[in-house]
Amino acid sequence: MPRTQGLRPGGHVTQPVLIATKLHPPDVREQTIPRALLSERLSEGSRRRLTLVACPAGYGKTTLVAAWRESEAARRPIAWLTLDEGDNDPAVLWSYVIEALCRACPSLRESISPEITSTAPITEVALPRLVNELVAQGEIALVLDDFHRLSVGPAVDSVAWFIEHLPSTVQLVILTRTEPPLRLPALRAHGELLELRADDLRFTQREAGEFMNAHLNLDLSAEDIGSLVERTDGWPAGMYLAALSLARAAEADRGARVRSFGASNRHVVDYLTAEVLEAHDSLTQSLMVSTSILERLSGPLCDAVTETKGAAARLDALSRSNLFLVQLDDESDWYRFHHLFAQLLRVELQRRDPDSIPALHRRAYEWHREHGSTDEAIHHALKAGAVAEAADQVVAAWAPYGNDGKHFTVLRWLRGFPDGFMVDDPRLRAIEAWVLALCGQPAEAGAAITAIEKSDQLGEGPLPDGFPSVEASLTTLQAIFIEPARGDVAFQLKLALRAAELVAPGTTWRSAVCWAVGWGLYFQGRYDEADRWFEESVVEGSAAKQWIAAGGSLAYRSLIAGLLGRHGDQHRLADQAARLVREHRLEHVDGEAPLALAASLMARDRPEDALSVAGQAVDCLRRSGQQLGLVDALLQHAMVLHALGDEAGARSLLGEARSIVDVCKDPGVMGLRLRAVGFSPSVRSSRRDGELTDRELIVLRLLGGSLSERDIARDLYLSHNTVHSHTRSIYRKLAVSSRADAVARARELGLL
Amino acid sequence: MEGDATRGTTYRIVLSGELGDDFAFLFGDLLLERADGMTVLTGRVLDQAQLHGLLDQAQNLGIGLFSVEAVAETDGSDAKEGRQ
Repeated sequence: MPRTQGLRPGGHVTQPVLIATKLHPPDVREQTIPRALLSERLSEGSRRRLTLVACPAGYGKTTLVAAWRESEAARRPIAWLTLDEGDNDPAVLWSYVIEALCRACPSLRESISPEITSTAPITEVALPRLVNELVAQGEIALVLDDFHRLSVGPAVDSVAWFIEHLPSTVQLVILTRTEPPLRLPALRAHGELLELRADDLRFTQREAGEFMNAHLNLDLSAEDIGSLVERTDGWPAGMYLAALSLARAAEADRGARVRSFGASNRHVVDYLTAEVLEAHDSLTQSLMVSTSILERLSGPLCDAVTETKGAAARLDALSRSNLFLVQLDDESDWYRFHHLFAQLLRVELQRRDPDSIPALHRRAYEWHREHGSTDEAIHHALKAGAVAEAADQVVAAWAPYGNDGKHFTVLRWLRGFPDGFMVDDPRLRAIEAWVLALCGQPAEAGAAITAIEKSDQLGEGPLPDGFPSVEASLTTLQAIFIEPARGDVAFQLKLALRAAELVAPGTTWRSAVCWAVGWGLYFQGRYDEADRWFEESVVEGSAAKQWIAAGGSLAYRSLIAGLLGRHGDQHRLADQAARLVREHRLEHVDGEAPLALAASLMARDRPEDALSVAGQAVDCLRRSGQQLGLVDALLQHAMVLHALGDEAGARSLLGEARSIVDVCKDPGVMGLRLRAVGFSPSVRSSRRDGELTDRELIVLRLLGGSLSERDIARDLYLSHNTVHSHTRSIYRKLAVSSRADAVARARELGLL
Repeated sequence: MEGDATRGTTYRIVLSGELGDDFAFLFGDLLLERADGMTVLTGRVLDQAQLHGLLDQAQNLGIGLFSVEAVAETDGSDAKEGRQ
């Protein structure tokens, strides 16, 4: 059971939502020049796998591609996504990409939805699905702007995978300041890369003239234009800053200004920033400088941060008359500064009023906490130094984000805390342990838990995510994720029972805890007891909408019914589990339902139907890191292959199962069940204490018949004493005291 | 940076174009000077992560990176030279 689900802590926690402004293609501004030759080259890029526009800030990448998009969109759909640090979480990135593609290509929505990223593993399931669906869509282009905001990690790796598997009808256009690690040399060598770089986007004399005179109405001489081009090296942002500065001067003075600018060594941004700001009244200046700390700006947010009114009107005016403030949507609600300009404003903020910065962040935090996004609230709280409040936000919001598959986001929040802080907050450390487990790092999660326990600082009191205490949270985590990955059933069961003491019925996590207890009992072969716990889990899970726990528990109930010979129940429960999983779209995270279905089909003598389902179970459980569940699935799959005549395949699976069991500290009954399967793997296996020997197994089988011990002895050419001592050993190992009980137990364990 | 004079490496980062002193705060504790149309940043950098963070600041401003050099060895184990 690799994921948790269904938490809804009370109150005003913002569920992760798609931020519409990231998906809004930038508008083409009339001040910008058309660049037909470059547009043509972009269109030619449709023949290659990747189109890359890689230049530093201020070269007009976004402007160019936005203009290209406007004209090209008549021929084919063009999807747009602007990236930020949040997209380093692959679940976030691909939910946005899918949404962007669906907006450009509405028919795509019938086959795939952004929500797939919350429940399916990205590279194994979601991306292959996406690629398949794209093949059917025809020509389409996808633009990813600000790609440099992704750092090396799983998100970038997933994009590399995507590039490799793109259908030829899809053109991927990436805009970035830095060359991304996307195997570019290989793409170049194969002619699969179209690149536009700084030298391509620099303004020529002609373009600069068109920009400054025709679009910005400056009426400069060719000589002056030439001088500016030389001074800025054709850097479009530099030219724009120069234009803003020159616009303030009387026409007659412009030539002189150009000359003195040309004579100065100061970098353009240093030379011109003050000029540009002074073109505006002091309230507007103050607005621009104070809001430079914000990623995105809206009227209400800016009013809150600057403690004034009327920001909306100022933003509207600024965005119309300038290129450095960009509108992010059609409704004029959201804007952002061009990143370069924002940076310059921050320098100005530091110069004018550095002490105000924490207070600005605090107001931004408070606004986002009430009206905006949790992610930005946490960011600003940390920048404001309001670390305790940031911690509270994380504690309140981590579960919905985790439920949505966005574990990397939560991990990023945690990494933003100052070094010493987390050590003192057991709630954050518990969340870190959960998130590490959800990110597929059970060993690190276990280490985090050990560290917390050593610190002896567990804190008191209920948590907003539904746990009654940090201890309950950690114990549950260990019982569900960490111990099943370690393969020590007795220890896991102990923890699960302890969790059951701490987490009361009727609370959110009860079903998951009941599942954990059932799991431990199942792998100890205590099927009737396990069944009762799984039954409670199903009831609790359905009530609390914890579908993963409910589905998994139904599946185990089916498996148990099968092992106990109650085949009617087995089939009914297997179908119920499969239906529940399908209904809640958990096919990719739940390996137990397909396992139960496979067992049920085998019991109905349909190995051909069982084959794919058994394989599915194995794949899913392998991904989940759950050792013993995987052994169970391998065993089942092997039996299916055996029934279909594939002995070699069956043996190989059993070999894998055996090798897992051999390194498990306490595999419960799985060792026994493996050995009892009629065909033995050609792997040298060390028998564990408490497992029946080959001899004992043979005697046990005969005990299932009607022969007396003496007759058995004669059949096996053994002395009666020897058989008797085997029998006693069998009783001891099966924890029974009569032949009848031994036989019943053996049937339960699948030995007879 | 910490007062511990033995940690980190001293770097000299040269940027194309002169930046005024107002920009110094972007570069932490590095000393910002101007010379011959270039900006020279000098000072102790704790580790590679910090170095890359400083270079990012330059990139955020659209300023060209001219050279990056380690100019002093401290404990001798990891002084590196990298010229752009």
